[in-house]
Amino acid sequence: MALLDKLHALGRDRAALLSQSIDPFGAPIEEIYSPTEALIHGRRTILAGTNNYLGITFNADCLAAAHAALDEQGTGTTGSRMANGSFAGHLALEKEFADFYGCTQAIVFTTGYQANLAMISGLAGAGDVIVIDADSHASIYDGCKLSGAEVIRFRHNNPDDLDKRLGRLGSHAEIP
Amino acid sequence: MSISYQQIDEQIKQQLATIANSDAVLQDDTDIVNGLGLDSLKVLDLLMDIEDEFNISIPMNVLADVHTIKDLSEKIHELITAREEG
Repeated sequence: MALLDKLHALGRDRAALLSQSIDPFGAPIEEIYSPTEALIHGRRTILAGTNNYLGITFNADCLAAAHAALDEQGTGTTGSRMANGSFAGHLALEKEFADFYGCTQAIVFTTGYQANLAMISGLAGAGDVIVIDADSHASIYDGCKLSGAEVIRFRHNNPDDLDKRLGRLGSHAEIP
Repeated sequence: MSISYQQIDEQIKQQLATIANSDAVLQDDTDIVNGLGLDSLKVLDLLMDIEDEFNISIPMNVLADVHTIKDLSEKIHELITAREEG
């Protein structure tokens, strides 16, 4: 099998969607007007799928703080914290979160995807069992996979199914 | 009495037949996703039904090695055997 052969089925699915004028990966944001509106294919469009729940991308205080951070600290940290250290502002934000939630430590990730990937693979490992909702986000599946733990799924939002699958674990479910 | 590999294989083929394309051929070496015209989500849903039928849990990690109907039947047979021995 050639390297790209396994992607042919995905390509066929995409072609079928495109034939119906549906292109889920190709919505060009030509101009952005607000947290909830943009120009797409020349048409002013409401962004119903955005995660910008609080609309902070255009909040005046956030914009001012972002501008100040750019001027004072540049466009990025340019590397991992382990290799390059942590910016004081990031540490202060994490301390604020930890204090707010009453925890000893907090870690801020740049995306929710990375948060799940890092936390799940950090907390669980080979020999552990993770039981997840079947409709969990892709980041949870990927975090579980990265952990090396055994992963069991239960039916979406179904506590009875969860109970049944926990029962099947038998001695696996015992805490040593 | 413990269920035989042949019985497991037969039941799995019956289950797959309910969601596969009508012209699909269910043989041991048939690729479950590509050969039966199924999408992976449909297969994962079916696996939960199969888990319930045999009263086992199929860890996601195990599925990485499962491509054909024979792979699936063998894995389920292994899991049932392990449960009975364990």
